[in-house]
Amino acid sequence: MATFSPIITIYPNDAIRVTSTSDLSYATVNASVGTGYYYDFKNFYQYSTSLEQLIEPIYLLKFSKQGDRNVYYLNNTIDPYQQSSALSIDAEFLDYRFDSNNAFIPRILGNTKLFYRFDIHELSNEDFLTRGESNFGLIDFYEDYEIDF
Amino acid sequence: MPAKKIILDIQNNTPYPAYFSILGGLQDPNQYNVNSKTEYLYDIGNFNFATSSTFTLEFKRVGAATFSIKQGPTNGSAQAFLMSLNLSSLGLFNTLRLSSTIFILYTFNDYYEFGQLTLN
Repeated sequence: MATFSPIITIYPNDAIRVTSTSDLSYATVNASVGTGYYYDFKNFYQYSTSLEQLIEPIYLLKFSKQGDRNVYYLNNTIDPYQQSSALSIDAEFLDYRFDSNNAFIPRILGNTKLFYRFDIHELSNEDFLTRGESNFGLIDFYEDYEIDF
Repeated sequence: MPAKKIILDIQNNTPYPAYFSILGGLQDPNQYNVNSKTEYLYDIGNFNFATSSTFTLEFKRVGAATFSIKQGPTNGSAQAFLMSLNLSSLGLFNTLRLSSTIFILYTFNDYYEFGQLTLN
């Protein structure tokens, strides 16, 4: 048996700081996910001055309507001869959305900055109730919500 | 369905790489890793996981009087230990090998406070 005590370090500016550059704070956007708002995205853009950061993988955890969980390992790469500091990633094939049942887990290197832009389509509960042939006209949004990766 | 953008600036102020979960909503047990000031680091480099079977981690809500206990299996491997720990809804934990003798386990959290880690 071995017992280990934690070494505690305080970072005044947060260990990993996530801020939203829109007029809504990150806490507000995060709190809205799954509580009335769902954000669908077909692609996203990431920028970092560190090329090593750009090729870091992203784990996408996805839950189907049956409750099954699957993990997709989004492996990024860059053209080795192009000193590009940005990647635009087509995510349409992932059929992924921020709806509180999924998890978007990137890995960030130490002392590194990272910038994400998600081009989203926002859905709220009202969208399901006021459009389509019935009150649930847009529920087909979820009909193909199966694990497909 | 208005088209909008979510734009996030992310900065790791620590010297260590880390996994973190974003935009998982308030139900996401890993949401507390971001925008936290406190790092908990354990140097577990001198431990032989091959002979281990369980772990025990003390945790409590920040400000609570006493620690609770989270227990899980290690099944004789550091990999199983880390997987079990990361499924315990206490946030994401990371490991990093700094040298042949220094192997660290670390996480960032202002919601939970962590105490002693015991490996059996």
